[in-house]
Amino acid sequence: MLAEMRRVSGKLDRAVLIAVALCFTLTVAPGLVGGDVFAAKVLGTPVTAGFLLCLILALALLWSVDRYDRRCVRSLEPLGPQARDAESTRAGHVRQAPHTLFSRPGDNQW
Amino acid sequence: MRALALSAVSSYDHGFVVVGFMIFIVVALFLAIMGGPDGDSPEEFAVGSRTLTPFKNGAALSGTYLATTVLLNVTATVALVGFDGITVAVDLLLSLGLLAVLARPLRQSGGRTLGDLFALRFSGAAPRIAAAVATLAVSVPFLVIQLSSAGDVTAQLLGMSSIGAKQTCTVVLGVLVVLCPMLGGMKGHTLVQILSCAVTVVALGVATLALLAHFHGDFGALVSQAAQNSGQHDQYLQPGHAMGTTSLGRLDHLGLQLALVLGTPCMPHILVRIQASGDGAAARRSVRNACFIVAAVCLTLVLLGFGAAAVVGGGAIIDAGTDGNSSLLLIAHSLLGGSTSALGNLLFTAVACAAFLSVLSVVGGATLTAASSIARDVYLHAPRRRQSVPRGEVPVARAAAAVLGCVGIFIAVVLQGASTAFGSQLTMGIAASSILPALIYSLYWRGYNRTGLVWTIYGGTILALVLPVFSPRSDTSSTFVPHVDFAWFRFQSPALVSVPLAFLLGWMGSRMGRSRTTATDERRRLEADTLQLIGAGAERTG
Repeated sequence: MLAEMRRVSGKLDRAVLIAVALCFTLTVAPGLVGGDVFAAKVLGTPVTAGFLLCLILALALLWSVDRYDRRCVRSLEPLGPQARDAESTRAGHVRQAPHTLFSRPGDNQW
Repeated sequence: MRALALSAVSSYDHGFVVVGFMIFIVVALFLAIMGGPDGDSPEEFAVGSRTLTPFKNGAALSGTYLATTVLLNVTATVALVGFDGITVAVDLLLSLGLLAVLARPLRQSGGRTLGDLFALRFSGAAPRIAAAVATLAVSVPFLVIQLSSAGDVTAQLLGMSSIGAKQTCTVVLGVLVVLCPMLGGMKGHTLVQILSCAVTVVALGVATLALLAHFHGDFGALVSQAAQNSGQHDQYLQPGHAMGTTSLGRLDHLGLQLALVLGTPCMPHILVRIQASGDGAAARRSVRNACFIVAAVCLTLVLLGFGAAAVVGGGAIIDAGTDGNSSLLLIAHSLLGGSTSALGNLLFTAVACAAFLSVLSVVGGATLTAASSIARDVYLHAPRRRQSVPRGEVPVARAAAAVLGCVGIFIAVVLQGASTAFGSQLTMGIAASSILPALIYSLYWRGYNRTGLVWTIYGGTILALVLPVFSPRSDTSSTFVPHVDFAWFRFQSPALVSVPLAFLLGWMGSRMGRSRTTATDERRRLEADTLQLIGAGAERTG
């Protein structure tokens, strides 16, 4: 399970980073090349349209990441603290955290 | 013209502003005390027991992100340089995208300070000391800039322009700013940040609606008039004019944007704010919520910047201060009938209170983070203290907050009137050059070791501190040796050079220290890796 989480998490993180990097590139590109921003083009696409597309892509990816996070929490939940500790021990995690992930669900909110 | 612009603001009924400030001072102190920690638990004091819901933490994160300098600088940049100002607002949003990626592993790692995160993977006192140095190197200049800037604005709002009045305002604000985190810890201070966020959203939202009503909802007319009255005409809506049209100027602007995108999410008080979430998923949802709030506020700041250029005019803004930081107040002063109507007075007071509360919110957070780092990374985990701890972590953190506050207030008073833009770039540069590479390597590179960490943090900090000294902005040559030009580093922000060099230093340090890596280090790396995936010390908050 940890290997799967690591793989998916890594992919999503990289996707978000690439989307953010693309947005940044399209933000700074007009400033570097100068001229009319509405006319300037990168790879044949107008800079403004490209920027908006990347921003939408970044937001969609953030939404996917959120969905993935929820799925992770749900998939770990039935295991309970003991199974979680076993999982972590198998992966080399030997120290015990002061509280476990599901030790006091929903408790002490404010 | 300067006198005209300033007198326009000072023609306001100061009673409104004074009453507004007094109300918010009382409310902020009340919230800090009532929401403060019940006992002396360091977990509760430093990270609010990690029980914040994503909604509350997102609002508090927005309050932390929207510093006074952000509110004033974004409006000023849009008002003075047009299109390039918009890119600054966009960069602020993109930095939240980077924070969204870092949020989950950071929160899953647990810990209350940057030192805790590094200590998870690297043994010994060196990583904690390095983390404390990086935290202080970012937080202290940040504290000074925000206090100095807030002192200037507050004095202006109260109709005073002498340097003594500004220094007095800085001292009074500084005392308040230190009291809030000392009394309230993370929980109490979170309430102050949520209040700041709410007041900022409402005040700027109403000001923007009033601006659009002023132009009968015609956005095109607003932009056209802004371009016309800015004094730059066609250039106003074209990119690449903020730092000059030469290649060097454009690269310099790129460096500033890079520092903003990479430095903002790595400010220690932002990283600690992430730790207040219940778990990794909640931390990411907090960032997502903050994205929406910051995007809305940035949109209002861009529109108000255009409004300032259109209604007040570029010349009047520069006459009120070459940095243009008065733009937000000047445009708020010009809407809803200005000082002649009660509504105009109310709007101006609301915008002034938003700027005032943002100081309490942001500087308090930076003070709390730096104090926690001193108490935990330096005092509690210093080699001599490990066996017996004479005092608890919370009293030491409170004392450290008081000392840091005094130091910050003293430096801010001494530097009153100095350029805040230079200080802001310095702070962002340090965060981007020292903390970001260390975080990225720690979280994502297996080969990173203690030597690499130390090289990254100290190397990055020194580069980010030293390079700006030799930039044209620092005035080093004219101050110390009048006839020798030391300004050989041509960029205002060091990020374009220091960030890649810091990454390189981290890689080189890790290669050099590879032979000293032991089996224990490898075990710690595995532990940290697992912890980042499944979390520690978490309580679900939906």
